[in-house]
Amino acid sequence: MTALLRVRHLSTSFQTEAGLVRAVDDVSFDLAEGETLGLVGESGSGKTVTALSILRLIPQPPGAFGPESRIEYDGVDLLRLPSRELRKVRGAQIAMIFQEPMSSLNPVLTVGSQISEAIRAHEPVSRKEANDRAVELLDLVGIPEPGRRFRDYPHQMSGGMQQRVMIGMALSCRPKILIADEPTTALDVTIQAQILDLLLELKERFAMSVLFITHDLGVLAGVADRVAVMYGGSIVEQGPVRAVFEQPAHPYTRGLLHAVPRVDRPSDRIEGIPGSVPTATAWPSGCRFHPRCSECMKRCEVDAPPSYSAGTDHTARCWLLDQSEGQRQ
Amino acid sequence: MRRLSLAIAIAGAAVVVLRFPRIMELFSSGAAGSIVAAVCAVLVPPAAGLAWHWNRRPGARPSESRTARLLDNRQFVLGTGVVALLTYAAVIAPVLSSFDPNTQTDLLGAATLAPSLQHPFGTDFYSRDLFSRMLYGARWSLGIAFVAVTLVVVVGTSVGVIAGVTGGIVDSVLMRMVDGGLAIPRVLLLLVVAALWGNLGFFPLAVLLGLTGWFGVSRIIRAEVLSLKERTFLAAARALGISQLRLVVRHILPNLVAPVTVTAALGVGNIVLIEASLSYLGIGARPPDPGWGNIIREGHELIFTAPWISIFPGAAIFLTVIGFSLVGDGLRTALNPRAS
Amino acid sequence: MSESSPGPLVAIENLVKHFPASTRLFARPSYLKAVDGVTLSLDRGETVALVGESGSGKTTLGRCVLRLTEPTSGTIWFDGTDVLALGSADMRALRRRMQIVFQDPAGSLNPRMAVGTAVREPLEVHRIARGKAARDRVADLFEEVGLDPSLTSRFPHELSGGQKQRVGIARALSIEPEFLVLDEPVSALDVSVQAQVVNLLTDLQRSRNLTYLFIAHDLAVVRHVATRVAVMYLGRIVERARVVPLYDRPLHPYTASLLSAVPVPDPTVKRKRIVLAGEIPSPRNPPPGCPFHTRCPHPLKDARCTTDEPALRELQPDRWVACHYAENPMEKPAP
Ligand SMILES: Nc1ncnc2c1ncn2[C@@H]1O[C@H](COP(=O)(O)OP(=O)(O)OP(=O)(O)O)[C@@H](O)[C@H]1O
Ligand SMILES: Nc1ncnc2c1ncn2[C@@H]1O[C@H](COP(=O)(O)OP(=O)(O)OP(=O)(O)O)[C@@H](O)[C@H]1O
Ligand code: SF4
Ligand SMILES: [Mg+2]
Ligand SMILES: [Mg+2]
Repeated sequence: MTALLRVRHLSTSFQTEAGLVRAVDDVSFDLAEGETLGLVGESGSGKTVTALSILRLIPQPPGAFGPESRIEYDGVDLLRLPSRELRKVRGAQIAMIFQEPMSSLNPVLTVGSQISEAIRAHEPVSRKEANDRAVELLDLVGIPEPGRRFRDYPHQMSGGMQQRVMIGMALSCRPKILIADEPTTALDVTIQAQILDLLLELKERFAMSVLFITHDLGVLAGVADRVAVMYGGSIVEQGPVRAVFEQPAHPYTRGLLHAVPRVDRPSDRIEGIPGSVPTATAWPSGCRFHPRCSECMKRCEVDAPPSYSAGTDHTARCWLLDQSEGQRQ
Repeated sequence: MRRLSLAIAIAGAAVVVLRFPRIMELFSSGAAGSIVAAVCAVLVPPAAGLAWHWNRRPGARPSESRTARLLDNRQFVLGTGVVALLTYAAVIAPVLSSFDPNTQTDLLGAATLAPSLQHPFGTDFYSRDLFSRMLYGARWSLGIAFVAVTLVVVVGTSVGVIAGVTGGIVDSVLMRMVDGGLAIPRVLLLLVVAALWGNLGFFPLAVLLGLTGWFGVSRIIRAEVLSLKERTFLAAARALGISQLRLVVRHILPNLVAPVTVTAALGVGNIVLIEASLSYLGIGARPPDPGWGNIIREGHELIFTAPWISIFPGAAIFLTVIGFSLVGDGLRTALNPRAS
Repeated sequence: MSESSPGPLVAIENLVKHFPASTRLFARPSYLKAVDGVTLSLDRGETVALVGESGSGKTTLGRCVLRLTEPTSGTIWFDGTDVLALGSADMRALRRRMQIVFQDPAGSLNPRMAVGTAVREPLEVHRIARGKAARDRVADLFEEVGLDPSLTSRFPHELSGGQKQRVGIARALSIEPEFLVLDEPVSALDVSVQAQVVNLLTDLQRSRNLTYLFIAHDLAVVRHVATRVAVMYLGRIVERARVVPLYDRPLHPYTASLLSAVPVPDPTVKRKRIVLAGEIPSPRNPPPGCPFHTRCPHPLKDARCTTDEPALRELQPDRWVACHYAENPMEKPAP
């Protein structure tokens, strides 16, 4: 598999009144053709900022990219592409669906006109043709009576329906890559199951690569081929989904896996991770997880660990994996 | 805000130094009003200086607090500066000017003099010093506005809170009253009152302006209370068995501080304008006492020969309205809890 | 206060809450049936979970029990007292014994009140403690819920979500209630923090012998905290059972679907999910017959389901189901 999207040393920061927010710090990953990469992390870990950075949707200022940052799509660096060229990539090659469907749809326009506008932004088709395609798309994403719902306003639809519309809009130009930022977080489990099935089906059908962002390890296990775990603005572990779930190498991943209440296991105490998620204005020194880590060592407090191999195609940023000094194992 | 305190301190100190003989004169005059003005003139510079000094200490205030956000807001600081200087000038009027505002110095020789060193704003048709008239006029115009706005805020907030909290029939009755109040054109009402009683004097006029101005405020406050009532924290308070009275005092009122202060700040400018219009129509300050409105009125016939008579009060009204809008807008941005 | 009587601490009988919902001026008044005939009881020291999709009426039911929302009809017994018959003074007194922790930790705290004051206020209102004694109690409560007592002077926006929820819990506990409605107490929290709060609640229950009505929107957390579960759909309870039998063999097709919809963090488990078609109908005009029939995946579903409303029947001891075909439950999806 060749990498369709290559993110290298991505750092995104914001200048705010409270100081410099280093929201994303030295993030690197590949997204291969036809692959689903799951990006998982708790609130504030930088998932959305990573996604927005890929499409350069970060407002500059206050946002700024680090000088090392590169985002290569099809051999071109999106961060250095002129904005006219970039617009041809956005939506047509890489499309995104957002965390909150309600606030990403324009409340005063019908959903149909929003989809057809998205089509016409990239393709020279007549309004009529675009409208017909929009109805087809609504049908594709499983909206009953698409011809009638075409004229609905967003508030007349439930959250699940809105998310379907968003998916339809994202697919309007047959993108190669779909970035889905917590597409099911606001939905009930039953509706979540529907949307996940829909996404998986459409992914196969259009042979897309998907960057699937979520904070729910359960959802991730069902959809991802590979997993990247984010904490404090950087990716602390990444690898094939089985490897990460079965042999988690980073203490944070292990903690997170233990913290998820499981519906398929008889009740026992779930273990949380002590402390709370740090804020982006004041990351802890050294390894950013060290204040909450049960296996924290002296050096963790001072030095940030580099990325170590933890198996084939499996890496983690944790000093426990450092074998050179023979401190462990 | 630090620079503002410093500016006031320096301006105040300059006044004390330059007008020192006048201050002594006022002290020895024995008239209560004069002494108060002189005392204020002497006390303000050191007070402003102290404020500046305290704010200078590192860590004087937490950088995240509401006050801090307020004091970092340019609009608010600029507006407060304008308002503070105008108010300060009004309070120490006798210190700043040696002329009595109503004395006609020399009807033949000193009428409609252009601004000069002796009469910084010139004189009017009756040879009165315009600078003094402006200063004493500020006492009238700003004073009325402050009193009226206090009334507007108190009555408007009380009615709004009572209607919003009680709901039901009380709410309906109060709101129909408000509808009625809003339906009568205010200036018309005031004109009728004027026709019946003529010039009213300070307090009656202020009360009248206040009592005819709270309708809109009570609407805003009621709407705010209704939206607060939907918030979970009020349900939480009720669940804890907290009484209705305490609910209003401890939980609702503190959350109304922002909308109330914003309305009050914007209201002052509004009332200054209305009062000026009334004075212009001859209902405000009773001649020969000055109010900004009737100074303009006295100047309007001489607008081409002695434009300064109208321009200075016009500019003062303009400054006041702008100053208070800046304060109001600044408050609105800084007090918005969503901003944090 | 009356002496503790035997029997359940809380008994809800046939509770109904209809919100007026006519939108047009001259239309016939219509109602939104948020809670439509719920019967449920809680024994001392147990946790009963209330589960259902968004809009199924869980919050409304919880609020009705405390009379934060006035029920349309029905009865609520609290320790032998008829709650709905109480006057406002008696009700305020009873509120010392029952408390609620809200769904939204940020919204349930007064943004203009320091969190320490928020916890101290009920102590003073109920004359439990004042002055220094009250402040000491607050510090103790903060420690009990795992918060640093130095946080008392902070305002809600200066705390994280988990900390705010702990303040909410401390405040509810301040007046030493016996019964707590926990309205999705962990739904708004990060996964790693969620577990801490769940454990805190279990520990507090043990040390103080509390009774919980634990509201949740999915069945995962519930399995770890509840003794009994009630599944709600469109304002009605469709299945009520003890935890173990319910998770082992759900008898109502809705329970089965809810169970299978919860994602499991294990890539090797490729479960066959029952994916429900469509969405929860509007409580403004619920479907006739079985309220669930529009989405029901049960193979035996037939015309009877669309006309006759199934009653909540006791199929096994302590096991109630409202489905015509509860005797032939759907196959549990094979793991
Ligand atoms: N425009 C911005 N200005 C300043 N800070 C920002 C901005 N956007 C994001 N941040 C900060 O960057 C950090 C990472 O935010 P991000 O939205 O990527 O988190 P996330 O992982 O998507 O979390 P969630 O699960 O809550 O969506 C946060 O601390 C956030 O406050
Ligand atoms: N004050 C109210 N006025 C009118 N309708 C209401 C009111 N409160 C709730 N409802 C309606 O009652 C129904 C049940 O709402 P409720 O909040 O109890 O659901 P819930 O199960 O708690 O959902 P969620 O999981 O979203 O919290 C919904 O359709 C809601 O719109
Ligand atoms: S009664 Fe019929 S429709 Fe209702 S749950 Fe049972 S099988 Fe399904
Ligand atoms: Mg996000
Ligand atoms: Mg709810």
